[in-house]
Amino acid sequence: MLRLCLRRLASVVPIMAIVATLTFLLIQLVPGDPASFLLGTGATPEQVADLQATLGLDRPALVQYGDWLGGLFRGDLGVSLVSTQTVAESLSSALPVTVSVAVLSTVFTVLVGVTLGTVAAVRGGVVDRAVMWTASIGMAIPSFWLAGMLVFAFAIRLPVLPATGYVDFAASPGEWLSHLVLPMIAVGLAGVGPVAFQTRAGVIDQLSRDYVRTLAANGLSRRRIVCRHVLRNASGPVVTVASLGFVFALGGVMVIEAIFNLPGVGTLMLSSIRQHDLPVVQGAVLAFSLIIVAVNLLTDVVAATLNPRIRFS
Amino acid sequence: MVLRRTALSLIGSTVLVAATGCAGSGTGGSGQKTFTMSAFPTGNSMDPWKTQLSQYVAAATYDTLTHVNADGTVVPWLATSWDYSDATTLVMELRTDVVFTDGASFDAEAVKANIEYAKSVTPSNVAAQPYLAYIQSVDVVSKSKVRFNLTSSQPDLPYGFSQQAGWMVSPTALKNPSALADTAVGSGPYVLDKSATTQNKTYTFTRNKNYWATAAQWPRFEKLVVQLMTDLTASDNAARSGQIDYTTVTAGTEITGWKISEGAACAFHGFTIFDVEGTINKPLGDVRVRQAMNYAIDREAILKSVLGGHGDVNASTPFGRDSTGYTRSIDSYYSYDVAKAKRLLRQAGYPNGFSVKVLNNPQWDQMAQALAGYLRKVGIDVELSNHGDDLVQQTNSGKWAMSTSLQAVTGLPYSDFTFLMTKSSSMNPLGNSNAKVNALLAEAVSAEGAEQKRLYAELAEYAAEQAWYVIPALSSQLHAYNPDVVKVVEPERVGGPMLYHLTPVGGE
Amino acid sequence: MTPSITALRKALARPAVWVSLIWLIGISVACAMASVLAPIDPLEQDLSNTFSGPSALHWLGSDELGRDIYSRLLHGGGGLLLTALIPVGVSLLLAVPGGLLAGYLSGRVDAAATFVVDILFALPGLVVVLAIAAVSDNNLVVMAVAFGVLTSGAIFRVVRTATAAARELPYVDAALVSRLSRLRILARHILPNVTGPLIVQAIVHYSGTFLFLTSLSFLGLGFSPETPSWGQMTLNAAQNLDQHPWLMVPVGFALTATVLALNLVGNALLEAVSGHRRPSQLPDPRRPVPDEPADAVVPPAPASVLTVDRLHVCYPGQDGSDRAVVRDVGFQLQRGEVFGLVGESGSGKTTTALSILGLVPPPGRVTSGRVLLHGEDLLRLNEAQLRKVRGSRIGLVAQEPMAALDPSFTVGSQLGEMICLHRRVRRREARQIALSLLTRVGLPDPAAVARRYPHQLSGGIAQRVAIALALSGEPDVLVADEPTAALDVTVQAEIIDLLLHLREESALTLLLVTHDLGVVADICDRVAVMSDGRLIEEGTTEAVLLSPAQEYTRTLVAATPRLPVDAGEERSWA
Repeated sequence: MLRLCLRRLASVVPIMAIVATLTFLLIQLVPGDPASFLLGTGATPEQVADLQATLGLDRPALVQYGDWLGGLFRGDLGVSLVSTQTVAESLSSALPVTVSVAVLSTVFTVLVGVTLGTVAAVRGGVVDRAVMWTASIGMAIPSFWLAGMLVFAFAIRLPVLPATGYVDFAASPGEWLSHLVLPMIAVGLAGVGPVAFQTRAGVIDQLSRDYVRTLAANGLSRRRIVCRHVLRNASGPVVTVASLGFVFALGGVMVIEAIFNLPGVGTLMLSSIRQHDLPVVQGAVLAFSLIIVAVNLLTDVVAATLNPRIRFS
Repeated sequence: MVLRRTALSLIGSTVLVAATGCAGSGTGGSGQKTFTMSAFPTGNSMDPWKTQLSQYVAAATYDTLTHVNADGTVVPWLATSWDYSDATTLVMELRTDVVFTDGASFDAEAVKANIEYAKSVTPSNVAAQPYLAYIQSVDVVSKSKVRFNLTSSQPDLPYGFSQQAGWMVSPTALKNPSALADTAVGSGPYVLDKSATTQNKTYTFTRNKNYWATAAQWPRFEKLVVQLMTDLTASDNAARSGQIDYTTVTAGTEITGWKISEGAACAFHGFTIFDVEGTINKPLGDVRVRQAMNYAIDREAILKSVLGGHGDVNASTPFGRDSTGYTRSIDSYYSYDVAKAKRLLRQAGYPNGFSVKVLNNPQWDQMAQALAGYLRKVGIDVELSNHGDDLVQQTNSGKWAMSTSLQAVTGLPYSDFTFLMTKSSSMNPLGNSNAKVNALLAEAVSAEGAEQKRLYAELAEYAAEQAWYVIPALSSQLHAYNPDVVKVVEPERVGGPMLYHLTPVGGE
Repeated sequence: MTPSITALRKALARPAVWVSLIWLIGISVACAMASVLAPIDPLEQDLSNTFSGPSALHWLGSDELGRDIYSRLLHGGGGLLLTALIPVGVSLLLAVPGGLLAGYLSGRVDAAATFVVDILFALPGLVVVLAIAAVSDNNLVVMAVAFGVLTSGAIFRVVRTATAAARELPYVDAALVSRLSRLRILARHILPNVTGPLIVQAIVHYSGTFLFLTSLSFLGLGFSPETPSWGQMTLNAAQNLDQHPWLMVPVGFALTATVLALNLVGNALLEAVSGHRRPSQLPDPRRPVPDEPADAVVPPAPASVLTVDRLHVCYPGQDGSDRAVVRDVGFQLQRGEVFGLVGESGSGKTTTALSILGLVPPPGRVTSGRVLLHGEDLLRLNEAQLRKVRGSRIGLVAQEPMAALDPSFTVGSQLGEMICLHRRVRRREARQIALSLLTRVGLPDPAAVARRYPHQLSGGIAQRVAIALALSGEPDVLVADEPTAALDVTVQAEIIDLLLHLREESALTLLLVTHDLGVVADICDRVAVMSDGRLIEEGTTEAVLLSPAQEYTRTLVAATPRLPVDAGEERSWA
């Protein structure tokens, strides 16, 4: 187990290095240049060139890259081209928001998805159909539409939850949660389907196994058999799917952050790409990547914990 | 998703020529003493010369040299009076009792420091540049008197000083401008509360107890919160659920218990024809072709459906109801006449129409599509090319014959025509210049009274005839507000309400 | 017809599925024939008639520029439907072979592949797509391919996980042992296990691609502003949701219906591909109570612990009618005896044994009869009551010990769970009891075994553990269903000895189901012979084996291979 963790951790650094490099390269390809953007229309080519020189953008790409990497090792992510705030500052206020949404929505997805999938697999029949239909429809509704409907229902019609904004956990855990409930559902509902399907498939498969009969023959209740034993054995693909759901949630977080006005990394990335604020883009991309890599690691650990065979292979 | 719903959304600072109150939004809070408004994020710093801050964020902590009334007249603020000693010299008298929050005094030296800083910093507030470009140098005549030496005639400079070109920052702070990234050092009505502020997201201000102006001059709230939101859905929802008190809205929005205020028509939105000489796209060089395009569109219909009916039909000129010399006849220069359009095209030698590639920002899709639809009917095949990310670069590149655009009109014709239809325009990548326009401008600026009006009217008609644009109307921006919290003075002239037009219900 | 094709036909016959298929085919055809079915120009604007609801002219209403929604829907769908196939295709092409190899070969190959996939995952999609758009000049196909490559990690992971798990399955081991080529093993043994989750993931992928393409429109990429597309229509509709909610209905319905249809078809395929799935082993609390036997009740003998009386068990056949697998079976077990139930495969002996515990796997069910345990009729008990009987009064030892143990828990933990359940003791004490149980079943190092997982045990040890598990509730009756069939010959003898030992030590009554007459001869006191669901002959072991009364029994005995020893001599396996 420890070896698994160490092995995965060891791969984090090379992964991040490659991601950082690829990102840098890809951003060079994105059309538009910060100097033009900052100077606006009507700027002369000379003015643009001057500003590029001031910002250090006229140096060869390799040099800029080396510079940035060097800063990275020192722990210095650079300064925004647009706002003179340091990238680290922008990220440190944006990261908790996005992570909060992503984690909560994954918890929601897993809880609801596993429950639905299990109920469908165990009960079968009409219940099974109903659950499948619900999960499928949940997958099909665009998240921004869902978000709009949720806000209308729970923030405007029945004003029980706030419509926008984010409150720091440290400031008030209750408020933090209440501001995140609607975004959590809007992001998490789409992932319920795949998790439910995988759970259902896994549980159906496990239910036909002999050990279930042994457990039943020993007098275990159905609930105990399913919740403690079957789910654990079916968990492999479910954990995988859940972590995929998390990653997809992270990808779709930009639209949700805009609708709910959450000052997260998604918004930061979108606005910094639009403004060609390269240091911030790179910092945001790194942050995103780090989260994803951490989640992947966590997934593997959880999967191995639940399935001893993976642990020992 | 970002702001496609309204033609008047601000997309960065790139296409606003003269920044007027066409910025909008506010946030709101509950309770009479706190006013929360939503605004669109623009710059991300507290240095108003380096970036174009949200109008309301800047106005909260920085005073401007002048103010502008709802009816459009420029009135004293930090400057007590002014006078043009000649066409290129503006002399201003200043208040002597104003102190910045760091203790520095406001005087002519401070003004000079500000202007010089503003002109030297790069990158800079794009919206301030058009006016600042006219100032060649600033002389300190005395502690309370300052002289601006201009490069050429610019009668609207006092108005410019009420907008983005007039912020006064403490001269001491300007010596160390990097601190202005997150600290505001102004003399303004509110003070930034850094503990409750997140850069580019939420700005909290508390009333400046040492403010030099009285409550009568500017009634203030105890607390002002500005929430920056990119998405109009988010601000709508925030409004409906009571999180904010004031916001920009699109036509047709209804919020229970709230009122809608309509600004004056000032958004100049449609197609800009860069290539009036026809170097890239030959047909566009022929004025008959450009006029044909203007006859091909149904302005009333576009105004109603795309702009929500808020605004005035226009003859593709940056000339509105508030502009000096305006007459009704200008607006009706172009009627909706498809037959005439086709005839003009035939006369110009294009009986089967022609095709043209148009640079487009996907945020302005609806207007672009609407115009393209009409042009298609007379045989002009418009190919919209989306460049949301490098719009500025593409515009400056000089490779495009036409572009969708959104610009602001102030109602001061000298500035409007200069900023839009002369070589110094920022939306003129091919450097077009029209001798007659230049001549008329030069004549009009030094004329007076009825003669001046006549000249501007002639200029407007000529501009319409030259058809450098295909723009159906001047449109206005809507704001929604909670009448229990804030009183809104609706501007009769340009733009939306300034911060000082939003006052507490029940006074300070 | 092979079972899977039958299953496929059955799955497709469900109304939900063929409606979905009709929708999918229909919408594809309709979009392909858009110019014929929707003659109104999708670009034709009419600003005087915007946001109109459905009307004679505009069947589905008009949008914000007065364009015909019906026309835009048909003209805009084809592109989306086709383009969404590209990323899925690319992902499958890359990820299926990759995942199979990685999961199967493990080691370096796996590590390398996982590394690459981790990088793909960690790349932020938005940046990549923007870059690709720039390089390819907004070419949608290129961007779709890029998206396919980027997201192939999802399918890779699912395939790899399923392959790694499948590799552990016993029959794969067997295939390896019999030296089948790797490719063959992959294709024939592993791939079928993988197709299940793969299909689910592929469908999720296709739906996810819709979202991606919609987001592209949001960024103004991939679709030219003029071409209608569902993505653009969805966004326009979302922006006008407050004031003109109708706009969302046509395109929202089309999108939702298509994704829904895909899911339903996918599920049907999944079921078909899963093929002949073994039924759930979970007891059904709602099973109907079997009938009482029609004739007069025969009172059980006084020393009888377990009486089976006129038992009938049926399974529904392919054509819907009931097929009897156990007919009118009855016998009695005396206290402390080892009773053998013999027969060939399919004779109904296992079903009989399972029905005693109420564990006949659905859809089979007991239709009539009685099972008396100390005079109490178990068949008349409800599920809750029956649960109290299972494990604490009757225990079960099954055929394949490895499969009978939960692979995710250690031996000690499983034992502990049962002990806590039945004896209501604290965990620490349970642990002690578990260790003593393991000792009782003849394991020399119980602590070590308790720490192990089932897949780490040999067959013999696993079966001992299974027996310990069955004993944890201290039952008086033990039903052993072919307990030695899956074991080596030498180990078989050990287990048989163990059972005998346990019978003596704890006065257990043992019902031994087996097809092996040698085992019967070894330890059974009495034996019953079953064939084709009926009980043919019953009596003492000696009597039945040495002088069978029935023809069938004679054949059975004759068929047993035996070493040339004198008749009557007890064979010892020691």
